[in-house]
Amino acid sequence: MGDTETMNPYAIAGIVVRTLPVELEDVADRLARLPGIEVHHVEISSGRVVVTLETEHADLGGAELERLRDVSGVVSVELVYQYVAPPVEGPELTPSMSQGAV
Amino acid sequence: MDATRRRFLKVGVAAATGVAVGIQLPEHLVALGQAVQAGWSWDKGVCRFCGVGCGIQIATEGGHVVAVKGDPDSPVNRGLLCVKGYANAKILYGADRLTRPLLRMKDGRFDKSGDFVAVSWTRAFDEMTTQFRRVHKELGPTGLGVMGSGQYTIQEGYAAVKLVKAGWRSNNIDPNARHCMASAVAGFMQTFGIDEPAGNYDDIEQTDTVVTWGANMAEMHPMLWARVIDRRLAHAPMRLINLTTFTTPTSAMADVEILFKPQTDLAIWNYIAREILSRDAVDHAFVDKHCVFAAGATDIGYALRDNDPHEAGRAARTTAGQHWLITADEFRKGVAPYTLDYVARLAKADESEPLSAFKSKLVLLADVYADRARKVVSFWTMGFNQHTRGTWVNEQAYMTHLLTGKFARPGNSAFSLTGQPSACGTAREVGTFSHRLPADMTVDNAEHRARAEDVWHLPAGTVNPKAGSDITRMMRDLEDGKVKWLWVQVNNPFQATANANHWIEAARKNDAFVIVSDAYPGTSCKVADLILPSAMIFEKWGAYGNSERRTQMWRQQVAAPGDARSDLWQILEFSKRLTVGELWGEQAVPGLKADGFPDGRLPNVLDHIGALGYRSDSTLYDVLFATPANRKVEWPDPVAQGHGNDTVAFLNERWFPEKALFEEYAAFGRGHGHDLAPFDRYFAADVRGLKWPVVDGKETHWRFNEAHDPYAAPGSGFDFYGSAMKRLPRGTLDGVTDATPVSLAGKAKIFFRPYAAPPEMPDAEWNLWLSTGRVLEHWHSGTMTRRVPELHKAVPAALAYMHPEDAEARGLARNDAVWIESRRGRVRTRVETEGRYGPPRGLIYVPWFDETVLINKVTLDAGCPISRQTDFKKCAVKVYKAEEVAS
Repeated sequence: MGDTETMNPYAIAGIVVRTLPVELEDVADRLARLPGIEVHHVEISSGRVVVTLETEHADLGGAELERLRDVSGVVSVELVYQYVAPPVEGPELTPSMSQGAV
Repeated sequence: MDATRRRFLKVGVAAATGVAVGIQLPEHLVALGQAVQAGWSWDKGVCRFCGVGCGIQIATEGGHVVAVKGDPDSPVNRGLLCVKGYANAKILYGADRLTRPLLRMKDGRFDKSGDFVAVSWTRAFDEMTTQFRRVHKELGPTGLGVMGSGQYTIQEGYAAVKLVKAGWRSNNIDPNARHCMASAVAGFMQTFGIDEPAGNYDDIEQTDTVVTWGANMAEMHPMLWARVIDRRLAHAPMRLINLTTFTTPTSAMADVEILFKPQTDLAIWNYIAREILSRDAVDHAFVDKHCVFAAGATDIGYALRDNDPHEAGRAARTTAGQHWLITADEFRKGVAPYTLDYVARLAKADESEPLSAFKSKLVLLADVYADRARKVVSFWTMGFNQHTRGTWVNEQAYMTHLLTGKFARPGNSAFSLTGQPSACGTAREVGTFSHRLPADMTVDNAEHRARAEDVWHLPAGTVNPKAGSDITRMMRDLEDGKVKWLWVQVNNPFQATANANHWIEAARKNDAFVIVSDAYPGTSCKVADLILPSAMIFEKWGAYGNSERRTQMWRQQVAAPGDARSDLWQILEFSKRLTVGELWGEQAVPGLKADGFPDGRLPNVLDHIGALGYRSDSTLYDVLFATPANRKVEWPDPVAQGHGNDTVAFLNERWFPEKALFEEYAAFGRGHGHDLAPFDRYFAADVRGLKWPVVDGKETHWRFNEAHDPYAAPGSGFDFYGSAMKRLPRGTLDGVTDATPVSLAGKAKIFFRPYAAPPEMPDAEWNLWLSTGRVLEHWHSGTMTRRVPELHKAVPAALAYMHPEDAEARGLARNDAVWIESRRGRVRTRVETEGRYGPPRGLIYVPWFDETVLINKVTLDAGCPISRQTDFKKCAVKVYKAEEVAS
């Protein structure tokens, strides 16, 4: 119970990154180099970038969102959309529980 | 999943993301977004997590939630979500989801020392009923307890209250919201005579200043903080001031950060009030017409156990809430000692900061509140509410805003940000507290009991007039053998209650029977005797009420896994097991003293049930829930639009409990300032929740303000129409001098409340303050969010955030294993001297989400004696190196 188990399903997050418009293209390039990140669209007028983040690889996740924020020229990172692939099998029926001390 | 499918999904998600926030996309991308979503069914919902109440859209396909997005039409979050919000889909699908009732057994029988064995619901309810009867016979109604939640849906909370207060005639139901905003409730009730905020989130876009007090909004209310930041960027005069005991991400965006010593917020407010008076920045027209001054008892203790040394000789500890009118001159005398010099020396937390610099910040803070032309919003969260003077410090915020007239007007607001999604909607409005009835009514008020008995069709004298135990006291009752049957619903109190070692041990005592309903096996499940698997948010119908009085509803989207069932089903099904005959005879209630009741006893009301159409073998299900009126609210219902209802299905019924119970509950508030709209209205396509009171179909944006609130009397301008505690004696700062009550109808109270030191402060041995709290990525005790991979990986463990010099002074380096020890217990974790939190020297910060770092074994169960809310922000600890263990 100490370590948290997860199903870790394949998931895609749709994210809007706001940048300083003058740095838009450079920022988009930097974002595209991050693992798991794909840049799909840049809106020049507003400096917004639409990216997806795949969350299956072990080294991806919330920490990756922090890394997006840390990219030079990024003003904000906003999560808009989350896709989760349906689980292939259902959850286990009976969790292993014992009367261990808390 | 193959690469082509992934590619298709990714582009589709990107397109849907762009569309959701109004980015102009090429047509082929828009089409791809639509193609990905073909076959998905979208419906509106509300986020499962904090009290902001963001609107979301949920997509289902093949019986699974497959996508979540921010609802672009939600006036709360306008299409955006924080990192927790987008986990709404994933929390349903953790690997160790509870799917069967589990009972501790040995040799086929219940045994407290046995291991958990999967059993049927019938077997589970059989054991619950047997144990219920055993304890009820031994201890009466007060031997039973329910620990409820600010995460109950409105209907669940209402059903639980009705079961406990009307059915069992016990008032031992109290929510985890006691730990969350009881001080906000007590402060609001004492000041205004009715509960819940005057303003709303739209104040953000209309203000010139946001002052955060003990509120890390950037992490705890991210989408509101995004609105604050947008306002800061768009409105040149806008300023952000953050008052806090340690640096947080909220400080990063603030124009000014004021680091103060724990508890000295009380003194800072009085300095501000003193400045407002001395500069004559008082809004005299507003104060003269709409306010009175008040003071109360000061020697009120710390809500510890009666025999605690900190409580000895505290004259007013059992009458902490008493207060009386004082004159404006008396008020001025009260705040007079809080000079800049005194307060700055008392409050400055960072020893490296020059006193002059700290004083300049306090002056600037006073300038902001005193400037008549400047609009100000004060936001606070747990720094105020979890405070041994939590009620007082809430009242001081209102003191300042009322003195300056900066209240209940667009852009001027004093606002407690709630932590839980329905702390307002359920805990406060339904009244799942041990002293409450629905719609702000209380059990100790004969008129209120009569009204509840009327709405509930109960014989007169059924409802118990003696308040039950608050959640912390219920833990103490469990330890003392006064509560022996406990049902935990939608919360995790054995991780969430301070001084937890005692309560964990108490739960394992031989004659207590502890039932925990949950979706995942958290700390409380581990100490339980019976675990009941609960359906989660989108596996049932429900309604939440957010911090700004906005009620939002959702339909069931998917089925719960295995045998997991909704908490409402559990309550209704269990109610079939009990009859009025066994509960409504004469009952012993130790300490009961009330007009019309024999001392220490509840009367036998069974002689009067025939007139109401009940028999002694009528079940609580038939008397309280499946009433003739409720049975007329039929399922299926067109509002479902094809969505299922497993609560109905597993009850094997033809009535619609979520709708019937909502309408029954709403009857309490309609016409009494708490008007909710009809159930169906919340499901209309153009509605994204409605802020009550909803009168003539219109929601109310600013209460008490005649221009906005239909309850404010015509011609009043402002009308503080709440009726509670509105007849008061008169006196001085020292006490009552004229006991004749004076009516204050329509007025708000400006309280003088003094500084009072906390009961436990650092000394030579226990030489650091400990503050606990939350982090962005995790929800409360982590039972849901620690099962979402990206959240768990982002913040896998609770660390001890410490100033580098404090670490060095103890021979500690970053990432060293340490013990954090108080007089009550110790936990092991690692030191963090960098990262997102920056405590000043003398204070450490440890988040409480992590069950493997169960920090509430260390914390002190002292609290506000008025609100009975625990102070989780202040106790004294020492930190020392722990031996490394192989991991």
